[in-house]
Amino acid sequence: MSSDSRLDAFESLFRSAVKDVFTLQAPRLERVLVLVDTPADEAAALQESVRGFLSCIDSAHALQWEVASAEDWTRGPTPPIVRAREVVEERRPDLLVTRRHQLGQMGNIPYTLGSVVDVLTQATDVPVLLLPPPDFALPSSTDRVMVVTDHLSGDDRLVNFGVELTHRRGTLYLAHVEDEGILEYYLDAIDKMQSIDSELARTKLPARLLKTPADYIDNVAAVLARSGVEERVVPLVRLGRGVSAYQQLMAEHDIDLLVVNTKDDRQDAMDSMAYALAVQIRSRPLLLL
Amino acid sequence: MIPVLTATAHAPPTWMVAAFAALLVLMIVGLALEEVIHAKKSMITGVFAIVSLFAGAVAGILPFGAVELPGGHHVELPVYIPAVDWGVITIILGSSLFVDTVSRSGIFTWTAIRLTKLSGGDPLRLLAFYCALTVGFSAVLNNVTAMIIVGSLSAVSLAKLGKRDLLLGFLLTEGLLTNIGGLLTLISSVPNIILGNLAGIHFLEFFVVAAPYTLLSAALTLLMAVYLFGIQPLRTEAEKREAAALVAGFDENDGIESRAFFQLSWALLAGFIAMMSLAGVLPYVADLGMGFVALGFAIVAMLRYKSSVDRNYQAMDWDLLFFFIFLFVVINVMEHAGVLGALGGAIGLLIELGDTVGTGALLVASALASAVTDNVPLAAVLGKILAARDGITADSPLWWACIFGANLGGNFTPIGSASTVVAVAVMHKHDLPLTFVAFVKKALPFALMHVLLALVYVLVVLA
Repeated sequence: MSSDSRLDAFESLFRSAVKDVFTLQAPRLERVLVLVDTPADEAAALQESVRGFLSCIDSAHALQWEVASAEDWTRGPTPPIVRAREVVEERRPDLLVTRRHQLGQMGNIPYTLGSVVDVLTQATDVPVLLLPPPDFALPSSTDRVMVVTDHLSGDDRLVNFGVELTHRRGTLYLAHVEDEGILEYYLDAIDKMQSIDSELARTKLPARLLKTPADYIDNVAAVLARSGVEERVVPLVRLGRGVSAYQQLMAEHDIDLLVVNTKDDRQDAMDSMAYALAVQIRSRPLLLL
Repeated sequence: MIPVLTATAHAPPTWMVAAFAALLVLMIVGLALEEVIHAKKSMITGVFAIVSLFAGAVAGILPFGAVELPGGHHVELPVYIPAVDWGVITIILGSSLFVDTVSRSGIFTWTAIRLTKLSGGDPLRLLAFYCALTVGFSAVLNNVTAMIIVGSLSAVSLAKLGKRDLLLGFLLTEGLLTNIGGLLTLISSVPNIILGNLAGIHFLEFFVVAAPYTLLSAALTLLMAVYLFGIQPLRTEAEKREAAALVAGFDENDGIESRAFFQLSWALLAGFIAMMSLAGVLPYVADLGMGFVALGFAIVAMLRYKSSVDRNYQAMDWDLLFFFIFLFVVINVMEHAGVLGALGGAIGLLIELGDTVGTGALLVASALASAVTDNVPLAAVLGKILAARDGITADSPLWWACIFGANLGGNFTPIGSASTVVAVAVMHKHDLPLTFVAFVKKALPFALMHVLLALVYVLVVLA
């Protein structure tokens, strides 16, 4: 083996040894805004049920609750979508609670979140708690919270929200699903390259891809244990095919709340897995960060 | 031992000596310009081995015929087989295989990462630990491997700490220290193996003589590096906390695939060093030599990979091994052609300047020669010349003058030793271009200090 190859091998070894370290930091949660297109009395009732659902943070953070009902943003000369955004910017909540298909004329069709939610998730930086449609019951608490992404390692913000919203002594599932289709596409390319050992690539590449999030989750669990957090951390790291893999995980673990990124460094999450996930998983509340 | 000089019936004529000397000079120039002519060492020496052998056969200077073995047996061997010092080759082969195999257990990377974490991310402590690591690794491994491990770790850890501006100083210091650490034991560098074998210096004896110089020189190198490269310790508590948190992300256990093999590797490494130390005095082992010990430990370590041992063989630096084999062939031909005798005459003039001036001149000349070309042919040629002279015993300072000179000369230029070549390669890989002249400017104060200190040590302490 030449010196250049060995140099590269050792650098890889040391880079592999550098792990993302989780920093526990409770997100700021003081003001919650419930924004819905229903009359004030229905909005107030919804707020009460959401308070029950989020009881783990409601008492801990002494949350200030506000409601923006249909009267506050759907009537008047300003288009409702613009007004909804203005309301959020005026009241500056730490968490926005809403439902899909606000002002929707198309009913609860499972192909979109509706333009209001699209705008609120993309044009503001406020985390959005997206409630299931009224025909699905809201879980009574957040005993089983699942944080999902296809690049979990180092995403402290996502995990910290998961930790904060999981009920004390509840279970926090940290899920990372590596897209099997994309991996297979690259492995096929490697199969056609003489200079790379295909057999080795098929063994090592998936293992390497899964090791990074698995190590990160181990670190999260260790940090939480050291900090006296009583929630149980369960790693779910695997290969899978897009949204169906996450749906399967949710069904397997009867999840109360799903936490996903809609705005990350790549700024494309809402165009890819997170959006598809948010659209298709209608029966459970989702926290869109 | 290197095959004994075989005198030809008649001394070759001067023009023939000059012609073969020209071949030797061409090969040395070729090795010095390895990067320019874009050819591997083994190819350069291989070409000259073939040309030298053919020219030697045509000139009728090669001793064809049966080779006499101990016990009076004769065996027919091609003339270039006994030309090779197989004792040296087996030590290099065995040590390389052994070190490569145990390094797969993660013991070296584990040590390196543990020290990184222990530094708390403080640049000054990090440099001190990496300097110690470089010297230690160079002593146990070979210089190139030591530089690769510490150099790559420096690049990764300084990037993690956001101190990439210090990388050049770190790499240069480490590159220079590989040649200091390479002096510590008999197996730390190929010149040590060749010269030590020829002189009959045992492993432990070598260590006892070389250790004080190595430690003092390494400490002074560290102090100079701190001053010249402006390495400052972290001042505030906040800086220290942040740096400590960053290095805490290193996981020393990441590269360990088998805890049992990891522990076994430590035991094997300790056994390897112990056996190498005692190889010269242990019954039977002394007869079998250090090559036997190195190969024996390599075989035991490779049992872990018994079904895939071909990968261990693939990891060998075959270019380097064939370089040594071809080099021995060339030097053997030069011996028969009278070139070594002529060079010996010139070196004799240096030696005859007296115990102090002669020894000092030999050290300086070796260092200068090794600065511009490979120190292995230099060591092989000098070793053969010294071994052929009467009255030079194992404890003669002349051997140490050659050993110190051949190792330390590599610190004057970026092509002076394989490990400084690697240091420069790491710099280039990380967009830190350093020209030949810039390297010499930065390294000169260190290299001068190393040679001056060696002169004092050899002339005052060892004389």
